[in-house]
Amino acid sequence: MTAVEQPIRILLVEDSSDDVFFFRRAIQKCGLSAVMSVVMDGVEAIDYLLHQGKFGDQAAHPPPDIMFLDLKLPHVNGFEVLERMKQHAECPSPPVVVLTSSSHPEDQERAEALGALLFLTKPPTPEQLRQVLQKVSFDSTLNL
Amino acid sequence: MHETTIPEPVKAEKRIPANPKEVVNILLVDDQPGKLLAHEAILSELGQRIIKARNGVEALGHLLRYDFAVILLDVNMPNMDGFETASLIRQRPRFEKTPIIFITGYNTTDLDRLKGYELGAVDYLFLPVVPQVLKAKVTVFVELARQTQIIKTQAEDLAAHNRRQGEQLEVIQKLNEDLKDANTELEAFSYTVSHDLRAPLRSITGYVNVLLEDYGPQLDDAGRGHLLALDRAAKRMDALTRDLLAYGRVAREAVTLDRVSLRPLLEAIISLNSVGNKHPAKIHIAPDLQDVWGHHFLLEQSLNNLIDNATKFVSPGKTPEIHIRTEPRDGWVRLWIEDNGIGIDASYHHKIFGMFERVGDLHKYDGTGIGLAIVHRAVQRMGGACGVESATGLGSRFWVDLPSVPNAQETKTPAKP
Repeated sequence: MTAVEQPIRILLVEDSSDDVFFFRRAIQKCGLSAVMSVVMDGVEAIDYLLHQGKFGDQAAHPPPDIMFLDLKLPHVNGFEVLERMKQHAECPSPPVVVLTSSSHPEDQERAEALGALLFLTKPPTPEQLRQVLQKVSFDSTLNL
Repeated sequence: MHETTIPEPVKAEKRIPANPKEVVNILLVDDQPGKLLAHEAILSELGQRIIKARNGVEALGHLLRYDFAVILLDVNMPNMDGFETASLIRQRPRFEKTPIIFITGYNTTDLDRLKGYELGAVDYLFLPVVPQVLKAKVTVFVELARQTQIIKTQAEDLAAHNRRQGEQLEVIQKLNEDLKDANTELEAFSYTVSHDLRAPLRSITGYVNVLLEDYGPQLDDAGRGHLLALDRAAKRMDALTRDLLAYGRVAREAVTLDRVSLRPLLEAIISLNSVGNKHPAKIHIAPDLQDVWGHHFLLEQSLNNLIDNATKFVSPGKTPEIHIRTEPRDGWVRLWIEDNGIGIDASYHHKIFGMFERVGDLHKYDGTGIGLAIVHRAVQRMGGACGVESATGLGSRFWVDLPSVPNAQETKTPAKP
């Protein structure tokens, strides 16, 4: 087993501050080292990925290794974020884990069709997050 | 005002009555009053209304006011002869088809007769007229006129009927559209409810956990007890919301029936339910389960609730044991789900499938009181039925009747291994 030295860079797209709090807590408990950036809606998520607007500084807002995306977001919802990521060829597309408050099978199918890697019902447990992050870091280690 | 009253009786006489009890109109056209009278006398036996005209102009005047079953037209008249009159009659579309019998006194040449036929004559009568022949020929046209009228009336009725049906169809389509809109709205509503209403509940349980984890040691038993009560209440409300949404979806889900294999469905439900169960139930599925003609989502909802109940309502300390099997019932499949639970008193059997019915000692157990209502509605929507055989302390045997797979389908779709 390769020890992961670099912390995993996480982009969380979540508009509820409660859910951000629970997510952060679960990450802290998952036993892996991670750096988290949080944006509150779909527009900001796309801006972050494309280094646009207030996310212009690439050093301050490095591209994420993984993105956790809430489906129900103000302005531009999670599905639309996935669609836009597909449309923009230049848009970096980290693995996306969709977070949702209900396990609607239709939502899951739609998100997967749009390229989401995984579908987690909120709140994700530390164990769930550990498994996901381990997989992502293991894959990126392989890529290096 | 009085002028408008005049056309009324005329209008009534215009049509050819279909009913043989009502009289039809016969038009006699001849310049000789003697012949008119003689023919009228012969035809009066038929009991129809006879209208006479002394010349072509008079005849045309009558035609403006009445419909005729047949016109008897003298060929040899001064000024406007029978042929001319016939040609004028035929110019009006309304009389294109009115039968005309020419009455001719002299030896008509073949050429003349052809001329008459070209003008729409249907027959000739030669003078002197033989009364039996005149009566027989006119009778044929009276009957023909009635038959034609019957067909016309029927065609009109049919057209009216079709029109009404078309209108009804439009109304139905409109209602369908409205219903679709309402359904879409409801769908959006329940989506919002399931997301927005449950989010705060999730936060409540989340913060309770945080409190218990981070501050639990600093609290006494009472404090921790209150937090657990808060957690239970939030979880119960979450379960209620979830079940209400499931009920709503079961009630309006578009249903098309298809072949469903019960075993994979049951296995999926059981593996989902057993997650986090401290005392896993022993569930025995008969090896020879029949396929049913049902709807995957509705069946999933029904079986999930029945199995959930069977594992839930068991005396403390007892391991739930469930037997699931099917039996054929003449075009139907009866699915049995039998448990070793607390059972249900017979006096409650009729109530338990209702909404929010929680009977007997059930307050000691978790449950929203919606589960069996979901089962009932879902089974009903698949055209089936459900029920229970049970007594307190003796376990419950829930049954669900569903249509068996139609024969044609059985040969078309090979059964999955």
